[in-house]
Amino acid sequence: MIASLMSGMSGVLLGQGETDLLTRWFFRTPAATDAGRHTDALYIGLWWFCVFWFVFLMALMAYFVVRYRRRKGVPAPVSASHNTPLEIAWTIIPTILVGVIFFLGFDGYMNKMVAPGNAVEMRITGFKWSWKLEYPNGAEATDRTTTPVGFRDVPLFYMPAEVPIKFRMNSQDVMHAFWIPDFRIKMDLLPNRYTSLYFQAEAPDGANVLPTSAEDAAAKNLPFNESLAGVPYTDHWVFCAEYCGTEHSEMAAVIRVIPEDAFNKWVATAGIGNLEPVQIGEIVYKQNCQACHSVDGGANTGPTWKDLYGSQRQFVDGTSAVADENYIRESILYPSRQLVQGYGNNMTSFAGVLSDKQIDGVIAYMKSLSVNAPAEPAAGEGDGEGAGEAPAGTDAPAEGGGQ
Amino acid sequence: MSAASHATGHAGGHAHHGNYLTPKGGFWTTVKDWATTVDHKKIGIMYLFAILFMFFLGGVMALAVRAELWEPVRQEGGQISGQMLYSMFNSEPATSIAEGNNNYNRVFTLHGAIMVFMVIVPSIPASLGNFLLPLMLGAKDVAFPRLNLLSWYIYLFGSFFAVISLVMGGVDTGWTFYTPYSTTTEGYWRVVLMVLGAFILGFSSILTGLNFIVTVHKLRAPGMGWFDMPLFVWAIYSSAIIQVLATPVIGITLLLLIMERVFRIGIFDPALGGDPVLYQHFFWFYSHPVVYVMILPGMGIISDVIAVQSHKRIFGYRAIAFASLGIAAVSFLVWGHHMFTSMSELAAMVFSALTFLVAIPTAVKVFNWIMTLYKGSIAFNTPMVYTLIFLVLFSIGGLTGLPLGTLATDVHLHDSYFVVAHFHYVMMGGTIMALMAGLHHWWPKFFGKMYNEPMAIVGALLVFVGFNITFFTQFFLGSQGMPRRYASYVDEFQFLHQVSTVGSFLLLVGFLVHLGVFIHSLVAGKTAPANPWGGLTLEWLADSPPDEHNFHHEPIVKHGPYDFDAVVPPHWDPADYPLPADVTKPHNVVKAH
Amino acid sequence: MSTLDTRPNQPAANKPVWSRYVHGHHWRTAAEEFDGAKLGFWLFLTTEVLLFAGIFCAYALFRAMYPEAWAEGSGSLDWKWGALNTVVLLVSSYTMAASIYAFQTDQQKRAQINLLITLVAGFAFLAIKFLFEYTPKWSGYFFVLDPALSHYPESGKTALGGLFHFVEGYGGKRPGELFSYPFAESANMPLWWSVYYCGTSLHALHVIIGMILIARVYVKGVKGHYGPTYYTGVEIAGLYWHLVDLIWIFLFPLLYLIH
Ligand code: HEA
Ligand code: HEA
Ligand code: CUA
Ligand SMILES: [Cu+2]
Repeated sequence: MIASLMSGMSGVLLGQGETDLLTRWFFRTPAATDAGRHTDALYIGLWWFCVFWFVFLMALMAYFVVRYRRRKGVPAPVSASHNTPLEIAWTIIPTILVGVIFFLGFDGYMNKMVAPGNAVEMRITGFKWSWKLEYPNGAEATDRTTTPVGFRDVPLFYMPAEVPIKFRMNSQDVMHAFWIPDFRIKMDLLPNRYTSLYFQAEAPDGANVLPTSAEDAAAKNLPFNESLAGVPYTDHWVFCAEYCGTEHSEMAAVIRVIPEDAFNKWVATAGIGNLEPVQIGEIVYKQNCQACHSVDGGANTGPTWKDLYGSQRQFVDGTSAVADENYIRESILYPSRQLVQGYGNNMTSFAGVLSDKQIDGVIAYMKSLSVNAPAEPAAGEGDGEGAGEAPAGTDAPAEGGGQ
Repeated sequence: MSAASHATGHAGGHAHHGNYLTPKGGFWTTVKDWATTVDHKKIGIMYLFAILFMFFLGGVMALAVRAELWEPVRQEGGQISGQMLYSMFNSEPATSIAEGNNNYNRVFTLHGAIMVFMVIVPSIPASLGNFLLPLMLGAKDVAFPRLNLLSWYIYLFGSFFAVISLVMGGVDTGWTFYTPYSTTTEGYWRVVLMVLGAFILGFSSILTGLNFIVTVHKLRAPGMGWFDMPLFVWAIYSSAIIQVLATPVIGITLLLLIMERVFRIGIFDPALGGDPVLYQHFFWFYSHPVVYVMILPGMGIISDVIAVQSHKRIFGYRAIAFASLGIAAVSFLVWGHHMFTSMSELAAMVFSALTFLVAIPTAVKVFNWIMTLYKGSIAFNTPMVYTLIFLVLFSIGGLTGLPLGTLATDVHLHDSYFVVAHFHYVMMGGTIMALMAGLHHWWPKFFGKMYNEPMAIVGALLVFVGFNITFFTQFFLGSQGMPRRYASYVDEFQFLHQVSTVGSFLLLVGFLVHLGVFIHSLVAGKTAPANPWGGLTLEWLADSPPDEHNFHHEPIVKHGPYDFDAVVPPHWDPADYPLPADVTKPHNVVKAH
Repeated sequence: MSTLDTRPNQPAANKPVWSRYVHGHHWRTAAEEFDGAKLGFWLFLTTEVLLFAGIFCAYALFRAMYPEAWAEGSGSLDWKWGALNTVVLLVSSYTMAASIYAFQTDQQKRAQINLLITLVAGFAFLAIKFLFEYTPKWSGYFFVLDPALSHYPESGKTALGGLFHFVEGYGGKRPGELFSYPFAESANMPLWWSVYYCGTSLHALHVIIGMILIARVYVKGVKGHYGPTYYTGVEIAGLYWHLVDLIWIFLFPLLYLIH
């Protein structure tokens, strides 16, 4: 048993984990993160620990039952009714052993839970009954799988390989839990506080490659995304592990790990490429501007965005201007150039932080908040612009859908 | 527990003048007699039948769950597949998958709630405990007989609320009633009724526990010191302590939950500043200790049965007794291991460490049981077979508690089928198997009839095999990534689910065999002697079935409960082997050679 | 260890009921029965304390989370009513103990009077709670005799034939979603009121149960059921009443005094 524990321990320490028989039985595939393989090794070590005690005790039991079975006329031999040294030994030894297990478990847990300082932070929101992912640049994942779970297709999240990633998560309604079995991690989502989940996925092994062309895609019955043509990938299931009602068992997602450079290229464009400018603007607003600007006319550090677009602005230097697209763009990139009366110089520049696409989004969003905006055909809604770029097979986000 | 002489009390050869089962008159007189009885034996028997009925109900729900999981649910060309549950209980075809999911959620919730609150928590204490505790102590009744009857009616009352809720359409909260789901899900009154039912059942549990504690303290027969009590009594005593100390907490929790649901007071509601995790702490502060309320009495049965059926002084009596108390004490400190994925790293560390601590006294008990078999004279009958089954299954269940208590692995395994497998191995493989062992062991005492031994053993083996097929597969399902409480699942899990379902129907067959054996025994069983297995504890001194007042004379205890090497069991025919191996003086003992 | 007087019974004829008490057939002696009942009841009291422990935990947690709501909340309670109720309960605890002593020494009249005072104190406690504390806070209606009423301008609105006078902008201090007090400063006031109402109303429920027990004991006392050799019922009602007192002793400072 010591030997088995040692083998488990050495597995933990060395981070080994080839696809041996046990790994396939227990997990189908080895974990796709280093920390996860640590868990696999620990699990298999524990398995041997349990097997040892189980077999040892049960064999003893079976032997006694057969050896000392009742026989007519044969009295039971006299035997001790207790044995203090033996009893002390079998109390102390297991205590030490479980102490070791506790320590290994705690170590592996901290490995998995504590994200390094340079981890890329992403936002996960859980709601009945799906997940929303926001990338660091404010882009929201909008792709969906083609193979349905239960009766629905589910969100598809692209993730860069070999990059430490930290999800900051919360729930909009009841409790959910984000479980990525292949990474051996899981965390609850609570409605009233943030929780986090950390992982660093290993690179795809190249066995799966995204379609290289539209024809290829059609042949494989997969959606085609030009910016990801020919990129190797690995898919991992995400399941909701905290009971949350009717579609708890449909509340899945797929994490698609792709190489970092491909991911970066993709996230800069495609991630938000599918969104309407107004939606992009709203995301940017919530991520960057909300702390200082209200959208309902309320007072705050900065001017409210309600009815700002197209209004006359009075500046501290006495000049004034109409807030048009260029004015807003300039205010975002060089906020201190012109200060509106009544407000201090508090805003930092967003030059290099927001992309043009995002700034356009903010402008569209501001227009949607203002009565001064020129009456456009339904501010940026359904004008079909981005539709052509959306990958085939992409459905409308199914918030609470499917009924 | 010094070397002993013999048990006195029953002088034998009494004229038979009826027992507690003898009807007091006509049908209605008898019914009234039972409904108003304060006799602990009758109350125990009523509990036994109620619990077996509830077990059957919960079992049917379990089979519905397993049937549903035969296929992953799919929408194929407008057709819904895999809605077995739906077609089992409704004649109309399924109209939507969401509806089917809701049905599934209700069924597993009711399965869990019935099995926990109405079956396994009261099971051994309220049925076997009620019947045997006073007998084993040599008392005429429990300390507060009328309170005991009140507990029984409270149990009925609580179950009644739960059944109303069920009839009105059931609830879909899971047996854990986690907020904010449980306070917002549809079925307003159904949830309130269900929670109220659990709340009321808690009172029944408290009163029973309280009654037992006082009984043990105050009503032991003359000569019976604390360490002359049978280990079953120790176990019941320890679990009664937990019942009394933990149940009020679930009481206030469920009360606040009802308030939350009815008045939206906000204590568990994040929208009003409340904290749903507080609910989880409250809930598990009760519900972890309560798992030891479930297992301790089972362990007590095993201690008794293993000693009696192998005619061997139990190994390490005091260690087992103290382990019971130790488990009871530590059980209050580990609740957090159900919440590793929603608590801080520091808290998780502390709770994980404490969880391992609670495994030690349990391990000690297992070692002691196995050492008791050493140099025994082991009978191969149904109680013993069930005891061995218990040892196998409970060891698996307990050992798989270790990866759950280990932080790194629990973060993966939490809320997966691994947990489902773990708790079925300890609850069904532990407590229910112990109940079956005890039921067969004391059946002759309860009803004065023997049962068909070979058939019962066949049933036990069927249950054993069926159980392992059903639940061993679930360990693999869990570690491979199958979450619990899923009405539908991804294709790769189908094979293991189907194996599990097959096993569950084998379980049904096994229990039906037992049902047949019991009915046959009641109708046509051979008359049982007072002491069929040669036990030394006081209940074997009483008639089978016992007299209305238990004993003809108050028994006086002169030897330990398991002194088989020095005492011939009362009513035990010396012609039947085994005899004490080393008998020195006692006058009524016949030398073996 | 038993305080029960176990001197042999006098001849049964024309003796009071209590001296003819026969203990339950499954007990060996009346003294053991008495000790058993007491042990059982102590256990029951433990469960009661644990029941309230839940409320106290919630109190502590939310106090740590929202100190400003707790400060504002206890600021809006009038410690004078709380203190008065504390005195009322303490007095009643004394009279309860006195009545047990009186039964033990066979002073039947004295025991009955003490029980009656205890009962009256229970009513007084509830009256203060409902008339002067719950009603104004919940609805804005003040009982006419409430001294606080003079601090507020007349609104002219009354209820129950002038027994209650309405004060504008005072009521609405209700738990959770029912909360509608317009001048709350802290956003988490509803939660404070939830804890306040849950704690105090659960306690009030216990006061009522205690009073039912005492009333029953009183009736049996008048019939002569209790005396030096048998007073289990009084003892138990007394223990319960002390528990009710004890819980209030914790609730009072936590809710009224600590800001
Ligand atoms: C009868 C009931 C019962 C019993 C006895 C136990 C016993 C134990 N349980 Fe279990 N448990 C449940 C019922 C029970 N459990 C239930 C119902 C749930 C789920 C509730 C829900 O979420 O719905 C649960 C869930 C549960 C979890 C949470 C899982 C999760 O949701 O993430 C954990 C985690 O630590 C755990 C641990 C343990 C441990 C360490 C023991 C220990 O006490 C086990 C000790 C026993 C042994 C160790 C085996 C015997 C000893 C030997 C064979 C000797 C050799 C051993 C050593 C050397 C160590 N249990
Ligand atoms: C005592 C507790 C207990 C017992 C005995 C059982 C017994 C069984 N359970 Fe149960 N189960 C729970 C407690 C229990 N369960 C709990 C607490 C949950 C969690 C619920 C939740 O998540 O909220 C759960 C959840 C649960 C699930 C997971 C559902 C999900 O997460 O989606 C499954 C799935 O397979 C399952 C299956 C079974 C099966 C097949 C049995 C079988 O062993 C049943 C076999 C029994 C019978 C077939 C009845 C036969 C009886 C007679 C014929 C009467 C005569 C009897 C005698 C004479 C003795 N159970
Ligand atoms: Cu979300 Cu379960
Ligand atoms: Cu637990």
